[in-house]
Amino acid sequence: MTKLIRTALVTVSLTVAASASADDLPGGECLECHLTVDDGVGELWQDDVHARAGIGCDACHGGDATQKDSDLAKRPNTGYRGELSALEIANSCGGCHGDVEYIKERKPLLPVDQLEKYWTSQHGKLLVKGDTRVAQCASCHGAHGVREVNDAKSPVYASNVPSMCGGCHADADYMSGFDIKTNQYDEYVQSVHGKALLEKNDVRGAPACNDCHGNHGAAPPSIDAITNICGTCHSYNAELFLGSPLAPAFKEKSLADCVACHGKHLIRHVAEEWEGEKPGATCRKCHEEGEEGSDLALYFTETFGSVRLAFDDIETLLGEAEVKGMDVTEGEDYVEAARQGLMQARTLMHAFSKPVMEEKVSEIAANQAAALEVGYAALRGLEDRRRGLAISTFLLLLLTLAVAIKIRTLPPFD
Amino acid sequence: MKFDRRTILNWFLGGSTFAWMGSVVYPLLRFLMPPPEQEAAVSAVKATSLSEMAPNSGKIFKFGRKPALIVRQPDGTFRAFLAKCTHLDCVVQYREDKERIWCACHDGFYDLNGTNVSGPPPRPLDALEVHMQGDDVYVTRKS
Amino acid sequence: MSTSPENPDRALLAWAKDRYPIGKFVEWAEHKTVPVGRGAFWYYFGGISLFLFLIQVGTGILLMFYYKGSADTAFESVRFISAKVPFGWLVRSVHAWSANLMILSVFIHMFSVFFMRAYRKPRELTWISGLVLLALMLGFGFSGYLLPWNELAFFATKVGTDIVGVIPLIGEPIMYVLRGGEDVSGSTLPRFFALHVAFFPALLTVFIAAHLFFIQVQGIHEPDAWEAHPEQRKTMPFFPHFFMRELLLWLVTLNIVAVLAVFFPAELGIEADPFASAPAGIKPEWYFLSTFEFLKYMPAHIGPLEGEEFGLALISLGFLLWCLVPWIDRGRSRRITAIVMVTGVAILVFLTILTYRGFVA
Repeated sequence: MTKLIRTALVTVSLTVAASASADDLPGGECLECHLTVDDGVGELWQDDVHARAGIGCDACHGGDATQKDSDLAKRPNTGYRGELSALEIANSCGGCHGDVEYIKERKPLLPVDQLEKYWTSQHGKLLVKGDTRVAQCASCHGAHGVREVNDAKSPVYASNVPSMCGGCHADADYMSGFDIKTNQYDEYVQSVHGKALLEKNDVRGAPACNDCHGNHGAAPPSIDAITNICGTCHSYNAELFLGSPLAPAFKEKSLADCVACHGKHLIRHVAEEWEGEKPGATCRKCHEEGEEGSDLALYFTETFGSVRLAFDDIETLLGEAEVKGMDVTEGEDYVEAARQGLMQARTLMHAFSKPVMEEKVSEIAANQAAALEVGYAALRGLEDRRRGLAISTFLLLLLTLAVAIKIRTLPPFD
Repeated sequence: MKFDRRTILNWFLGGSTFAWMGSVVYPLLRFLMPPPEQEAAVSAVKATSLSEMAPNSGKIFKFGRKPALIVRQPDGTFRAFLAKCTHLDCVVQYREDKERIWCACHDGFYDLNGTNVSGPPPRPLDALEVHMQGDDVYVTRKS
Repeated sequence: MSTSPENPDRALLAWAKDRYPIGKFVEWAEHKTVPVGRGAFWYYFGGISLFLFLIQVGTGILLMFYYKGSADTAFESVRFISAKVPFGWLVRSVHAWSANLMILSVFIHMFSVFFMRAYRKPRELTWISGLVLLALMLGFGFSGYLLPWNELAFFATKVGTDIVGVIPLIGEPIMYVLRGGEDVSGSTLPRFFALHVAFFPALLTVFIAAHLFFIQVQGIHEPDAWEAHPEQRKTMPFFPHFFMRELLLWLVTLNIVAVLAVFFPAELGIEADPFASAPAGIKPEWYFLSTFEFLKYMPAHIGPLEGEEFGLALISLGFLLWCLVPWIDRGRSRRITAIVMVTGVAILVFLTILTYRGFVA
């Protein structure tokens, strides 16, 4: 009973506290008035992290929060600034968020370099020159309803980032005058990264725009940086590539490493990407037909193609055996091992070395062969069963005949 | 012996009975002989032995039908986990250079408690129990 | 095998007679007869049920050599039997098919006894013991179905034991004991195994012995028509005439089971996962389908009772009346006999239709 009472008490006091704090939001008279005005600010402020931290309207906007009268609250000597301009926003936010001592006392783990990074970004550089169309703090984080980054409703939550950036960058009209394309969002959404983040909700694993471009120092990575950027997650691919003969060649020709073959935003599954193309077409951008590089490309294409076809054959065979009642779980285990091998082979490709690939491919082939053998053994087993049944049925028919004849030779009933 | 119908019939009856019984008894006897391949051990598996693995090394083995990883830590003791990465199911491996468990697919790392410490993996690895029996190292499901 | 005019017995029999007082028994066996006539075909189904049961015992014991009855290991051990043990697939599939055929045979036997009115005096106890045997057979079927520990079996057991829990007052405690807890879990499996291989077989042995004893002592029931027309009376000796025919049928039955086992092997399914959600379209084995369907048709409430409770009550009442048939139809009133027979046909048709509906649902 005491446990029940304790739980009830805690629940009630928390509810009371929560409702109390909702009424006690900082903002004083500014907030009181703006709640009645139809500008949405008051409503947004309910969810703001700064509001919960006790920061009032005057901290950014100045003015006298004790004055009920709007004119009195906004007199010149109150420091009232009104609506902040784009540049003012950056400096205002940065005023606190760039102050190490200030932030250290309130949220010690929060970074304090956002503004510094921002000035290095394209957005920051253009803002300083006077272009107010570019993004500043409020464009992404909002002004009055700022939520934590890991709050799913925040525009900067991982799965919301692409559509947020796309809000400007995919709008051809808005972006006219800037010398950059506007198809990134469309391409990203079709890519493996986009699908992983937006369809499968892999917020920990899949990259959004900021994972490659940076958060506040947003800029496209330079050509030299590409391998490092992609290699943040695909470290083994990067390591293999850098050790391969292609790395120095790409550097010499100023080719953008990973991007040169996989693209920037429309990165698709390799099988989909290069399906339908003539085998080795991507590689033939540099390698003439007949060259070593082109031969290697053809080798890769043929090898992967035959491995994939083998999987189809195995699936058909094992499926047939299973439908007929044979157990093929061992075959499925081999298929799983072969698929793991294929995943590893696709990574190993980045070494661009035939001997390395041959070793892995023979391992895959061995597993696939074992899976096929399981299927064939199952079908042979089926035949054996039927043959066994035929033999025992035949013997039974003989016996039946013998018994039937015996019955006929029995004396009559009475 | 008289070769009258009755005797022939009795021989036919007896012979066919015997033959048919053979087709029943043979499968029965074969059934009772234990097959050479033992059942895929699901509850306890011998993963390795003290002499087989040096400290700071890892080995993949089969636990039932699933791949599993056994790690001999630098201090000589063993840890075992199911080896499927919790991100996208690739098989993980032990990295001696990092003294951590690594997934090659997207650079995910787990510490030797199985906790996901870096990269995409959303959950720790499923841990298994290790039991020593003399020189042999047995792995069982967590009780 | 030497015989002589003084001692007409075969050597083996002579050897036994010298040592055990079986003289009377042998004479009785030699003179035991079985009625011959139109309905004689139905007399074989008792023996076929027995034969199928013997197959179950044999294959069941064989399966126990390899089956491991705990939740961790059950499924894998059944897969091992089906895939790796020589002829394991055969033993398992024969066990599964023979179970189904046995229950079908038992139903045919019961209904043929009913329509021949063999339940009447002096065979009331034979009828009652037969119904106990039917209940035990269904218990065997229900308990055995869970043992492979696959998804279908797991959820079918859950649904089945849920229905037991509907019985007022005693239903929930019984369900708790059956399940070994609140839910069907790893604790349920050992209980069902114990029921299936020890408890039910023990009970069954007693009741089969009683059932057969009653039949042997009283002889097989003769068709009613012979009372009025004794000239129609025709019998055949049990040994060797009926016995050989029965043997023939047993052999054919065995082969049918073997053919079914080869061409329609028992499925393995997916291993049961107590934490997974139930797949769509769970239903029990065919012999429980009519009950299952019937309960579906009950409205949510009937008076103070829940629909399912009412349905179960109806079924129980029906079963009780079925048990008491020897006392309802004593052969003295032609009208009562007619009503009882028509009711029997109705029940048979009803059960068939419900079972069919359960299949196609």
